[in-house]
Amino acid sequence: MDSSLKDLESRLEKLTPRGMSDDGMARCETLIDELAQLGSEEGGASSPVGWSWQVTSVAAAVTLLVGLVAGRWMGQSDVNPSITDLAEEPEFLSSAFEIIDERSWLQLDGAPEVIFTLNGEVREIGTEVDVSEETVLHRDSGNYITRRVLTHQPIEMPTNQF
Amino acid sequence: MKSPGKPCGPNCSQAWKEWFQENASRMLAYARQRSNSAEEAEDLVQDALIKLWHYQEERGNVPPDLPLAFSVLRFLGMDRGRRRGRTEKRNQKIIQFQAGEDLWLDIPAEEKEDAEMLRDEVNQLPEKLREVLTLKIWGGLTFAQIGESLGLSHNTAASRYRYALAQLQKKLKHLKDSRHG
Repeated sequence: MDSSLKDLESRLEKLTPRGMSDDGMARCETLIDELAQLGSEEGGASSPVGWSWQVTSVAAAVTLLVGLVAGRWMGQSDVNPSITDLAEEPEFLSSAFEIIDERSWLQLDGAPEVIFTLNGEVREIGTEVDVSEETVLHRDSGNYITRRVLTHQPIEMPTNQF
Repeated sequence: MKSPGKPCGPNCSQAWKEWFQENASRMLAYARQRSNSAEEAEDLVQDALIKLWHYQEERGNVPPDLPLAFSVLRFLGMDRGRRRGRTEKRNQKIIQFQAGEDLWLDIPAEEKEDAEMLRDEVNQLPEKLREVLTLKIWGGLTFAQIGESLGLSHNTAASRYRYALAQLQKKLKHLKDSRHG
């Protein structure tokens, strides 16, 4: 990195992010006390990122069962009724699957277009895609299930690069 | 079945408070990149705190690593953005930043004019570049940690950072040149 960029870095470091308000800090500290008092009542097995583990389990169970019906996994052509029954039990859902990977990223869908507005402003219009992907392992069968959700979001912002 | 977490005693509560006092402004700076206002950013930090708490219950109730905290903030911010309509949010944010009504960076007393210019240009950076810049400069993360938080390789994080600096430098030069005729 050249010296001018290092200089820029040190100028940026002199800008100070505003801290939490006194009220915000107090609320968070109270929250910590309340959470500590609650102790283990709410449990803590869910991942802090993305969907809750139960939602993921349900989705994965549904996906797996669809696959079982279609005979695509485990080489079966018929669904074992006991699996269907078990899949409805929360205990089965939380123990049958293990989360392997979850990630999320943003990507642009194609190149943005540049437009000139009536008031002379130059704006960039494009589509941003939020991609959320989770991979779970079905412990009994050893099958991996990947669920990917794409959310397209139109974006519009001023630009001076065209 | 979920296994119950270890109960959190007074020491654990104190450890979390100390962790939060140390990192609250870093978390808030990042939350500002994913929210419309200071108030919404504080709500986001509070929501993240709850999520992190439950996650750490199964990990000895110790305060989390910063990359995890930023990652949680990011996902919560994205979730809010989805629910409220991203376009509306983004336009509001641009208007607020441009109008200078809702600033999240304070400038030093010396070289005030240059610092204001720099702050404005930081706010005008594309979201993805500003996000990496914020985590590096004001979040204190390494490129590897930024990559971990954002689901990127550390090389991508580093190149976005360098690109952000280069863009800032270019815009500042352009502004100074135009100011001096």
